[in-house]
Amino acid sequence: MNFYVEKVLYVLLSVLILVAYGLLTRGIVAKITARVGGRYGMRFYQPYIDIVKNYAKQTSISHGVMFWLGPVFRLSGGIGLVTFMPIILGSVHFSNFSFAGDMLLIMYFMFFGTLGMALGAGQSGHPYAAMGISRGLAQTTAFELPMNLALIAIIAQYQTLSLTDIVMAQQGGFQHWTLFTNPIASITLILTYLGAMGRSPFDVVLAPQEIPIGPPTEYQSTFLGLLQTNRAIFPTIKGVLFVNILAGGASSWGELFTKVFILNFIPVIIAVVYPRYRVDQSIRWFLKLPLALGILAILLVSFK
Amino acid sequence: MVNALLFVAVPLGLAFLVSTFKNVKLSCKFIVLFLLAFVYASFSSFFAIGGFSEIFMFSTAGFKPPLSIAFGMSYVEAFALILVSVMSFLFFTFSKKYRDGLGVKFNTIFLIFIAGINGLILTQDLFNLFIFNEIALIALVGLVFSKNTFSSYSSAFKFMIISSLTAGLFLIAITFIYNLTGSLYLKDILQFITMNDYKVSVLIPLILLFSVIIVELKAFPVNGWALDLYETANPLVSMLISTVLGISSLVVLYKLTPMFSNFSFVLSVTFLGTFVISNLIAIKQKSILRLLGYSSIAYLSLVSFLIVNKSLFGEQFYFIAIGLLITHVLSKTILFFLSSYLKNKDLKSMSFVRQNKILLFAFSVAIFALIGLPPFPSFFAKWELIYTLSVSSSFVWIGLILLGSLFEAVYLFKWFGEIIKSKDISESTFVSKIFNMIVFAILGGALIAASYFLKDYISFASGLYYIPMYIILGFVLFDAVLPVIIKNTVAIGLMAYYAYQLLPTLSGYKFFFAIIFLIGGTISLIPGYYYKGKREGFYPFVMMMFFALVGLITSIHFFDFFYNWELMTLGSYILILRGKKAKPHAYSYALFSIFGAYLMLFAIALMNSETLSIAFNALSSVKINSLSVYLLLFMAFMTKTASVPFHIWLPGAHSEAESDVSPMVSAILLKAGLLGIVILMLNAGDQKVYGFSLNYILSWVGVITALSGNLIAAMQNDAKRLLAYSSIGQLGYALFALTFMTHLGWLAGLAMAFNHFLFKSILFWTIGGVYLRTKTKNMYEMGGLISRMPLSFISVLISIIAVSGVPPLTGFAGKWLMFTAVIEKGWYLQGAVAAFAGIIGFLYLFRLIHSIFLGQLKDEHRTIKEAPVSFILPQYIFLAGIMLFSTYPGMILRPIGKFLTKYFPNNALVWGESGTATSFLGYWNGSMVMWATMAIFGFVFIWLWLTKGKTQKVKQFNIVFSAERPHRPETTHYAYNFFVHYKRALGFMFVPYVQNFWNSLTGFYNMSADLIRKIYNGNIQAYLMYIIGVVAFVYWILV
Repeated sequence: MNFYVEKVLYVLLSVLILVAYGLLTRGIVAKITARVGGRYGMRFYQPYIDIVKNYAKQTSISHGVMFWLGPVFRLSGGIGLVTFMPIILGSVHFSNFSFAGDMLLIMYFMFFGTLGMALGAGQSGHPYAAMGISRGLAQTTAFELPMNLALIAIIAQYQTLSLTDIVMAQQGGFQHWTLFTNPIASITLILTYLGAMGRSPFDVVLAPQEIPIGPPTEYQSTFLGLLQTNRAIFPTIKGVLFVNILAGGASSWGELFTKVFILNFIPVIIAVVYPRYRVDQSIRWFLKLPLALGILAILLVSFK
Repeated sequence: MVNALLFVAVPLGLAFLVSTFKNVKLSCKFIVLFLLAFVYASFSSFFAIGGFSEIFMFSTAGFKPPLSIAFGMSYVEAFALILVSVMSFLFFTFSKKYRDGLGVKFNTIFLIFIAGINGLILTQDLFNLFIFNEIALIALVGLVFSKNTFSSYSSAFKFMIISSLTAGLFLIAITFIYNLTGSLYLKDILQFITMNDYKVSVLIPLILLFSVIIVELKAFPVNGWALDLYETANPLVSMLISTVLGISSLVVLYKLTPMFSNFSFVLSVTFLGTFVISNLIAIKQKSILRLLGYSSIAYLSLVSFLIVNKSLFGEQFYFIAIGLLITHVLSKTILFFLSSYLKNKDLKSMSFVRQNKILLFAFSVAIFALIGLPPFPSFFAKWELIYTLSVSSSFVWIGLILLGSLFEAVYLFKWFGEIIKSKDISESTFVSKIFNMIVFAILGGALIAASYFLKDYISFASGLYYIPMYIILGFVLFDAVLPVIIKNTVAIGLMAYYAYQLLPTLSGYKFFFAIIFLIGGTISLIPGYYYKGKREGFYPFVMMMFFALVGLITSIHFFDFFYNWELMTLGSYILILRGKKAKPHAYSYALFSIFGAYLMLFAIALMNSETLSIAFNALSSVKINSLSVYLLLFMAFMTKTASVPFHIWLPGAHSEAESDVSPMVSAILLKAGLLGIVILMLNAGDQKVYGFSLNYILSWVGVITALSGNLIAAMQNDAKRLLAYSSIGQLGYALFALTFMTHLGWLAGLAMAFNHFLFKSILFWTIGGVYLRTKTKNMYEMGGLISRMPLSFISVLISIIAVSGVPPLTGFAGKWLMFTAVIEKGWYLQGAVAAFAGIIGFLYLFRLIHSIFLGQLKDEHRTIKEAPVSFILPQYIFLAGIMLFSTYPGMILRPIGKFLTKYFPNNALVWGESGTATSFLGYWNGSMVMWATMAIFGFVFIWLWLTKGKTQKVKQFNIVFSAERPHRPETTHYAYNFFVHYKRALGFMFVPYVQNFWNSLTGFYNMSADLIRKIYNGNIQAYLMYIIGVVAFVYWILV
């Protein structure tokens, strides 16, 4: 079979697996959160039902071309990340198109969907959408600074930008994981990961109470279906990235899912304990402890 | 050769004759005839002289000096006579209206004045010097009295008292000297003094003579009388004081200087001090005549300094003196003549010059010639002055000259801006008669013509390329005649032809910058078609700017470079000034540019003093001062790249410029600074401070600039200010990357510069187009324009993705290279700050596109049209460029990498066959990313298309607005103060520290100017005390 055709098919397969897994995690997490909150909670397969329902809607409402394209950008961003990410170590098939670019490509490609989505939501003309984006952008800049410091420390440690090489360098037992070889940078990354996941206390972007669901306010039916698909992929692929960077990657789907689940559970635990920050509070929070740790990580790697 | 005695005898005789006339008109005819003969005689004397050392002596009554009245005529005297005769002729013919009411008396006094001045210039005898001085000064008092106002009486009276004091001192000095030498012949005195150096008996008369000289030459602080005269006399008489009397004083100084070889340091300090202080105080002046007085004093002091240090300059002394004097005489004549039309005396009242093109031309030429911008004689003279001083390592003098020149630029630019941008045209007594026009046209034209002849006396100027100057001149001549459509087409054609001719001959970084300047320049002229009418005053300067930019590239040494740098400043300053509210911003642009230019000049002087070369590659052989040279040049270029702390001029200048000028000055002009830095770094190499890399510090300057530019951009409500701050940030990145001095760093820097050139042009064109339609730059007043201006929206959309560095567009190349270079270099902290700045970029980019194009459409914009075609067309040309370079980044990165390998061979990118670029750290395949992204996008698009069901388009207010109804677009559009929470969180980062710093600096200068100004309290007793104080002080330090 043609090389590219084969690659494309495997990307599709990866996307499907990740969507299935992502929806399942959403359900399970929702269930657990509800139980902690003293409610019974929804069925763990509810996200599957929701997404099918949204795709199956017969009518939809549009505010214009950019509004229409927003979800397309958003999901393309998610799928693009899957495309450029080496998912399973040593697997020819599931390394996908990771030969097209290194870690920097992935870090910057994350904004592709976000930006497009923000534009689409902007055209809806809804002030809550704009407000949510403004908050989201502000909060993102704040956690990106410590995150960049930590990532640079790790890149400097391994002297490579290739994710595959970074994963390879961590093989041979958990003591070789970045988590243990570079704990300061790893803790910084995990702290900033809280912001990237957008759970409480950093969920003011979607702020379910004050500004009904933030940027996606105006989206419904198939548009929302696309957004939900992405919402299944995006946190998972971020988890894959962090597992690759911090926890030695994974050589099988099972290992990957376990590691990603554990990693993604950290924000969940924190979310049920801590109340929401206002956006200026969260900016300040990221620019205190995480920033200090990030600088420490850099200094450690500079003077090694 | 005319007998020199006639220069005195004829006006004196005519004065007696004329005083008997009843008929004023007849007397005037006689005088005009005499003046014509005077002009002819001085020219013929000048040409009769064979060489610099030749002097013709004339004596009276068959006696030889010292017994006779000895007159001497050499080049110096003859040249001075030429200036005096021409100026007197101009004065007399121009002052007709003023003279008419005053009758024969005025004519008599004027002739006596001329006789006195000529005697002063020609005499070679100390006592006669005294006599002619008294004659000239008494006649001058008469001329000042002629104005017949209380203040002119008062100032003339002060002047008489001052002159009697100096006359007394002068006479005592003469007595002493005659007693010592037994002769009053200058030659004998000089001989005696050189033989009896340092004797107190010689020193005392010399000190007295010294004080007379500094009073006559109006040195600080004994020049209060002169300022009062300038201010209160009729402006035409002030012109005589400034030019004719000034020249004669300089000739006297020239003759007496050899006696003062022991004093030369004191004299130099006095004159340069006067130059600096007068220019400083002039900043605070509100009255035109007093300002011109300060300016005259300053300029004459500079020439005096030159005369005192004549021996330093060799043969070039004459060239420099002529350059400075011609500038002074012609521009002061223009300005004083113009002042004679004024009804009020405040600076703005000069704005009547705008009612007539020739007046405006003459005024502008006078101002820019005084500032010393090319192509005026003073530019060449000042360059040669500094250059020659640098050979003798006189850095204190150079520093003082540059400081004084900077102050000079401060008030002249300010005044020019006030005149050009003042709301109303002031009233004046000007009547547009042919004669007046011709006078001003000749005076202005003479300034330009003089530079054409003078430039040949600078050896470096031989390489200057003059065709562009002719083209600019052509545009000036046809400016008022041709319509925009023709001028624009010609301009585009010329630029394209220039590009076609020049580009194939260039390589390396020169080719890179030539693409930006020439291709960019050509395309950026296209929006000009939008404008109707003649658009006067645009094309000469746009051509000047672009040609000067290209001149920077083709320069072979620092003279060319500096010449083009200043020319570029002049062109771009006027272009920026054209904007409606651009006055203060163009002003601060001009000041920072001039400041940078003088830093550059100082650096060139430092370099030349050590290497005796001004070639670029001499930078590498600077040893002792290498750090200072490097830093000064770097700062000079930073003023152009607008890096912190030299950035404060940029936001206003770029945002207030006209819609099609903003992209020129932002996307193209800023790269001149980068070009300078490239030349500097390639030639000077890495600098060490105590073994510590200087570039490490400069890299922090780069990232702090990037961070603050982006942060402040996010807080702007004005779209063009936002883009302007964004330019600061983007250039900060490029600067940061260049400081790495590695292959990857430079590749990143140049790639980002190129990218900035593309997207910033597009963004300024789109926002300019939007502004033309909405008439506002405030983003919150717009909104929802996507439906009205979809083409502009697409331009902005693609450009902001290119800015942000999000793959698959070009911006990512720069970011990828930069971070690879950061890791290679090990500058992690700076790298993280740069990344932070990059993320903050998203804040303003989103704000820009959202507030203008998305959200709620305003009622008043419902019928608005798409931006003009002439603005859309260039955008799409550049968009095609962005898409092309995004898909095939190798097209631009590979050639840059190739020439960089020459300078930085290590760790270059390796290009694979499929277009994968591999660095030592990572890899990236731009084409693959582009195709993959396109494919995914297409796939999702089709997926949505297939599953979307029936889509209904709803109206603007049809949104889910929890239990409320949207009231108006204004209250529903979330745009004002978009990132208020960010400000709340990080308020301390938005304090304008740098702005405050510059404000307090200018505050300090203003305050000191004000303090020093107070010594001129108008009290004659105080003025006398100053003179006596100076005598005592000089006695104290010398004896």
